[in-house]
Amino acid sequence: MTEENFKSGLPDSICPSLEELAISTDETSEEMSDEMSALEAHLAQCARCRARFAVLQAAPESEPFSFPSTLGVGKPIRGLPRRVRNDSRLEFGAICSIASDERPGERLIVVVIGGRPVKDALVDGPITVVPISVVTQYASNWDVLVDASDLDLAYDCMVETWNYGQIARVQLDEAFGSVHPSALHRLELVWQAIRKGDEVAPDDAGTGPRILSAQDPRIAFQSDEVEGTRSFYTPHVTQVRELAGSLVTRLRERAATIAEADEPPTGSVEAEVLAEVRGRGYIAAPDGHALGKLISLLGVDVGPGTPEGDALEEEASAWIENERFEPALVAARGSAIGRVRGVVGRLIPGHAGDDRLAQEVAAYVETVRRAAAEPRTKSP
Amino acid sequence: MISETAYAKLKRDYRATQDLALLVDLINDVVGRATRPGRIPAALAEGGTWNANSRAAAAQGWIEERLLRRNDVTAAFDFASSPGPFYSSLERSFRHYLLNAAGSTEVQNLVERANEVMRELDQFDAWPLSGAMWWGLSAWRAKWGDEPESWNASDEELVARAWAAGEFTISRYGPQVGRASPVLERHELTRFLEALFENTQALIDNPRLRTVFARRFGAGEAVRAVELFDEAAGAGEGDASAGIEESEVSACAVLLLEEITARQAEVLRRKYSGETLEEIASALGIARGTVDNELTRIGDAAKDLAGDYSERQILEKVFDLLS
Repeated sequence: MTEENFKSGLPDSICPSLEELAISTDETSEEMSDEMSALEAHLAQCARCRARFAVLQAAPESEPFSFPSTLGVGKPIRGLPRRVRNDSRLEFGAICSIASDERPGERLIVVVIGGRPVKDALVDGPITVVPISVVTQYASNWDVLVDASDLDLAYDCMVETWNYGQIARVQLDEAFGSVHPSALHRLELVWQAIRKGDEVAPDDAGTGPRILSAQDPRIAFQSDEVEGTRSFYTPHVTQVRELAGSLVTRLRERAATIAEADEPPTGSVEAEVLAEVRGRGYIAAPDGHALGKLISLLGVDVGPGTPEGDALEEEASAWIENERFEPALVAARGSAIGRVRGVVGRLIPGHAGDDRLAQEVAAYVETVRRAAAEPRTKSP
Repeated sequence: MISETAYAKLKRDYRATQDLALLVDLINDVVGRATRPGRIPAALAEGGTWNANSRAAAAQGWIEERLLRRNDVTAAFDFASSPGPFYSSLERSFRHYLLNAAGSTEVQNLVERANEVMRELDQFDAWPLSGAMWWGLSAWRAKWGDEPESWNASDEELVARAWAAGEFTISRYGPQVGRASPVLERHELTRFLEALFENTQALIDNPRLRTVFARRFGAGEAVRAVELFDEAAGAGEGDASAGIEESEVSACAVLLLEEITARQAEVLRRKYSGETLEEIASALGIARGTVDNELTRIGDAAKDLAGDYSERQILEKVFDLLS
């Protein structure tokens, strides 16, 4: 537990299920001291779970009930395919579950769409994957709908091609077989369209309806999906040095050594930006002037042609897209600018386009650079 | 609560046999825990109250609709490597089953209700074309006379236009009506139809309306439209006892608490404690825009649950629970 999170009310760990919350009242709880300790630590941090726990304790036990006789017990549901752990066959269309240190106990089910054989999972190339979701009613034009019989999972799902990311091989958990040929062909068509930057997915790819407006509720769903997958992508992508050129990474490294006397005043905009830099591997579009002041404070050169200057321009594009088209999906993952533009362009037909974006980015970068070049003043 | 080892064994055994009997105790726990008194609005129970019979009925429906037909158990095992996330997944599956429970005939009811609304309200008009009734905005008659454009693009495009119409609130009857059905209320149905026609700029017939309702509102599973709109709307104003209302608002709040994230709960708690959006953003280390978005999502979730009650009542109750 971090002091910062304890104060903020945000837990370090994921929220427990009702069942886990209930274990403290079980007679067998003495046997589960480790779980109890973890639960108590979580409750100390999480206002939501304290409230859930209080409600659970206050609610009387339910009356016992018996299952109806028609319960389908003892009958196989449908043919579950043989699943074999085999991470050496990570070809296009392989289905795996992946783990993240940030989401213990949870798994993301993904389809492999890129990668090559590697020797060292940490330092060699990452694997490109797209997540699978079972919430198919929110399918968009870039979600490939796959029937249970068309892949080795045995349930209907959609492949979120728009939500692709990279993982390290060490994250792989279980191998679940693959997407079957007919659906695989559709997935290939859509993936090729994404790679080419097409405006819409092919008509015959078996996807959902297009998103035509920022009012479409599916955008909020996609934002939640991005939030849910981010912790599976970001930390390990950092490990494989995908973010090596990121301005945020550099600022964070510098910020770790900042002298106490140089800390921006508490409550100032600069302090907010610094907190974002320190707390996460990505930040939302910060106030340009405040970012410039912070850059000046940290002694980073963001002039044109410098590596940090290039990183500023690239990240500024991602931030501004993210701010304007919230949720701009992959922007917050520190992804490449072409990818951000491509995704936003596909999602929001008729959006401002590269010219206006370029102007806004240039103006923003100029603001940052101007502020960074201003003479520093001591904090009061 | 089962141990990690027991969970691993259960997962292995279930995958090998696909025998739901292995999960009977677990299903019993999930249903029993979720439907403890005060945890889920009674309006979602068969007969308007949670007792042994309605619990058994809910369990039966959940098993048939979600665990067997959609294979939610297999998915829950795939998405979890330890018992906690597995239970969370099943609990969510059960809650969403209750919230979306409906029969397959509901889309037809919704089409009929839409026809009724369009016949009654001045802003809509009907055009008999090729032996079928086509619907549109009455303003089109002045613009196009008796031959306005009729929809001739694909169903996919039509559904895309329906999604582009925005967010619509699905309400549920309160305990006074004694029904658990989710309902697209009359004014929301009207708003949806207006937005749909604005987006299509073409007449739509009933088969296409059916497609739109089925696919936009959850393939016929998420919405019921019954002939009790006005009765439902009026029921909350009259003889409802304050005790029942208080209890149902609390249950809605508890249900909302399950649907939101820890961060959303913290944003809500701080907002109702009087903090500004900037202060919340600073305290939680997130952007102000993110705070805004989280509040919107909480509000949307509250609207979906509120039914006869106001969104504010539910949110205030959640704040009480969080305080």
